[in-house]
Order: sequence, then structure tokens, then C-alpha cells
Amino acid sequence: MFFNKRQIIGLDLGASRAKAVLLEQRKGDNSVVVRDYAIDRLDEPNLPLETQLRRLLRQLRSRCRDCAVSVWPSGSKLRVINGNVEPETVREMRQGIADQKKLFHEELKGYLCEYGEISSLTRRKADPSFAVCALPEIELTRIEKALHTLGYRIQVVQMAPLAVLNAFAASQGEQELKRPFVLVDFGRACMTILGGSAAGLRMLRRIEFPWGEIPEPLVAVTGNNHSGENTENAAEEEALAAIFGEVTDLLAFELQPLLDFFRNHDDSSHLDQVYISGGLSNHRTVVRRLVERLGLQCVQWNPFRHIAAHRRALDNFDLFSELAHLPAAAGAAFQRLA
Amino acid sequence: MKLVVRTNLYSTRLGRHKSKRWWWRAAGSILALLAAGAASWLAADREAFLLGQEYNRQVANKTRIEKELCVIRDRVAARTDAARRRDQVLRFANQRWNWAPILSRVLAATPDNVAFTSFRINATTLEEGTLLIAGKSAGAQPRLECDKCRLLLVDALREAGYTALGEFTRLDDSEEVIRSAGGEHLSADFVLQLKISRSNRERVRT
Repeated sequence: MFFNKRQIIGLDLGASRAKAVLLEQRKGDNSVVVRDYAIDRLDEPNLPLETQLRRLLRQLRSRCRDCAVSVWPSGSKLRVINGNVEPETVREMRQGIADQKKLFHEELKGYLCEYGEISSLTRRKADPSFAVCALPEIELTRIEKALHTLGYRIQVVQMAPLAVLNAFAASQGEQELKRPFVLVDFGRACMTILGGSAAGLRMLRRIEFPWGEIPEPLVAVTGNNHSGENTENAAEEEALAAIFGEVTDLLAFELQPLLDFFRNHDDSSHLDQVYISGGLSNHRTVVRRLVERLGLQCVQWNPFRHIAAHRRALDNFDLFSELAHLPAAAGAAFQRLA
Repeated sequence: MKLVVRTNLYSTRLGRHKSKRWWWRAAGSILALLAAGAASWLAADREAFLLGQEYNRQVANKTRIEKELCVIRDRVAARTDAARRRDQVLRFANQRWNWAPILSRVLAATPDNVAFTSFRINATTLEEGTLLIAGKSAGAQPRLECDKCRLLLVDALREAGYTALGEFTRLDDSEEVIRSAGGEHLSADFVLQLKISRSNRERVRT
């Protein structure tokens, strides 16, 4: 009676915000339910990490102590190695004898390295490819110490792009995954772009914005409300629209070459839509402008598409407007539950 | 739930924690097992422990009592020996005629003007005896002095618990004149026979 369910907290430690989602898996039918979620600021450098996380985790109102963490701090490294391009390296990785220096073409001291095969998104046999990631050990120690101080245990640490990919694969159906896709996860100072098709993951890029950080109102948690209600007058709305437009143009400028590169692949030429997530994806103006600039359909995707939500999570009406912030947290939690 | 990548950057540390936890758990389990075993052993052996304590106490008591018993036995043996010796002495005393107290009383009761010249004791049986005393008496009426002496002796013996009967077998005036205390006195010779028998009070009971 007391052990018929398993809970996990998916934690996404972003550059400006920490996101947490509490998932519950019932053992009888293996159904997964979103119990609760929380989003809090994480951009106060003077405060220790545990203080900022305590505030976030307290909002979950759960006794669960197991965490699956998704991070992508500066200094971390992530590579996708294609088996057709580097067959020797892939063979070594399969045998478990791959050298870290060879994987990253440099010697990494003070890093935790891990690699794993990227399995096929569909039932069709895909090209063998491996994800290779390295995380500064000091960063992991900092997170581990903060969570241990708060009484939480880490079960999984996953790179944010891979967690997003996992969440996407879990949330999409077989038909959607057969078509080529591009995922864009907008952050405050960078964006992550993943491109793939039924043949496998083709592209993984992280682009740090050369112009700096996106202004705070644009990455606000509830972007729609902000743009619709908080503007006191038309002039302010017009000013915001101008800023949105400018930022979107810059984003489109960065995205366009990558999309072109992706579409150059034989099996990805018929790319027809881009899946977007992150704070910016909540702004209709930005989405509309992106569609115009890229010439592709941009849709926000729901990481919890195939799972139910608990009434406590549904009572919070912002859930649907905040779905865009939760893919990485959800992906890390999925890895623990699957 | 379909997953594409399963890399876990925490797997190494998790394994380390888990292995540590395994050791701690194993150690904790062993300790708990030992504690439970000790507790059950103590619980099961408590009665035996108490019985052992009682046994040890009884053994100590037995040793102490045996020592005391030895002392008492020695004492009893000594007293028994003493009693046996006393009984032997008493038995011996009961089987003989002790004349010493009779003679002491006779001599003590003899007046100054009477002098004994011979004693003769005839102890025919254990119950009766005869004391034959020969002597001289001096005085104005010497035979009367002899009779006084007879009465004194008989009274002394009766006071001592003997049944005494005295009679003269000879009582004659003597021609000898005895000079004493600055004068001359007439004398008489006598032979007194005292028949003495031991009364019940005088007998020693064994």
C-alpha cells in the first residue's frame, strides 16, 4: 500500500531559473502523473545554491527526496559522434575502452565524462551514434553538496540537451518522430538546437547569444500574461513589440544557417516545423515573427503530452503556460522512471 | 516511455555511494544481528544465569557450612572425648570407695585431747565399710572424753552424708598419766569401730 508508487523530482538548473517537476509513477499500471511543479529564480550570485534551491523545493510540498538533475553549465562539453563518420571511436565506445582524450580531442582534467549510445527514435534502424558529455567536477560537487544539505539525493545527472531530447522522444508519437524535427530550447543567454529524424540525431548545437542576455520581460515565466496585461498603455506595448521584434530577428539570424545545414541532409529536406521551448516560446509576437523569418511552422511542444496531471498540478492554471520551461526537468525525471 | 539517451553523469558517484552504503548496511546488519543474537542469548540464558548464580551461592554456603561443620565436629569430638574420659573417671570413681573425704572429716572433727594411735579400714563392699580407730584420750574423765569424740565423729560423718554408727570395742582407763598444758591428766585407751555406709546423696550418678 505504501510502496506502490515511485516519485522523482526532475530538477533543471538553468542559467537564470531553476525548474522542478515532481513526477509519480504508479507500479500497477506504470502510469506517470505530474504531481506538482515549481519555477524559481536562480540568478542571485551572492546567495548559496542551497538557499535558492530550498525556496524552490519547498514549493513542491513533497516528501520525495530523489532528484534527477539536468544541467548545462558553462564549461561543460557535449558531442554527438556519428558511427559513419568515426567508426573506430564508436567501436571503442561500444567496447568500453574509449579514451577521454580521444573523445574530446583534448585532455580534460577535473571533468566527469560519460557516454552513451543514442538509440533510434523509431523502430527503423538508425545510424549508430553516441552522445559524449563532460561536466566540470566542481560544478557537480557544488550541486551535490547543496542538495545533500537540503536532504535530497541525486539519482541522475543529465545534460540538459539530452534531457530535452529524451522528453521530446517520450512525448511524441511514432508518426511525429518519423518526420525530421528541430528542437529549439531558448534560454536567457543561449539556445540549444537539436535536429534529427528517424535515422537518428543529426545536429546538436548550443549558441550563446553574441549580443548578451535576452531582456528579463521576454523570458518571464508567464510571457503571455505579461505582454497582455502588464502593459499599461499602448505605447509600452508598442515598445515591447519592438524589442521582441529585434530579439526575434537576431534569433532568426542565428537559427537560419543551422536550419539550412540541417535541411541539406537527404532525409531532413522536408522539414516543415520547428519545436520550440523556453521562456521566449510563450510570446505570441516572438513566435509569429519567427515563423515569418524562418518560413517554418514554430510550435510549442508539451513534454507531458502522454502523461496525466494530478489535480494539484492542474489547480495551478499556469501549468499550460509554463510547460515550455519544463522539458529538461521532465526529461531528467523520465530517465529515472523509465 | 521512450528514452533516447541514458547517460548519467552521476553514475560513478552513485555507485560509490551505493557501494559505501552497501558496506555500511552490511556492517549495520551484522551489528544488528549480533545485538539481536546477544539479546536473545541473554534472554534465553537469563534463567540459567540466575541458576548459576544461585548454584555458586549454594556452593559458597556449602563450603562455609562444611568448614563450620568441621569445626563443630572437632569440638564435638573433643567434648565427646572429654565426656568419655569423665565417664570413665566417674565410672571408676563409682566403683571404688574413696576414703579421703571421710578421713578428712574424721581428722577435722577429732578434738585436741584425743590422739589416734592406729587406723584400720575394712572396705568389704562398695556400700559399706568399717573404720577401726585406736587411740588415747586425756582429761579428768578420759572415757567420757572418748565418748565425746565418738559422737563428734559420728556427727561429722552424718553431716557429710554418710550413715555412720560408732561403738567402742574397747574402752579402758589407762595408768599412763599425760602431761600437757602445765598439768597432769588421766588417760584412757579406746578402740572405736565406725560402721559407715554411703547414702544415696553421696553416690555419683553416671
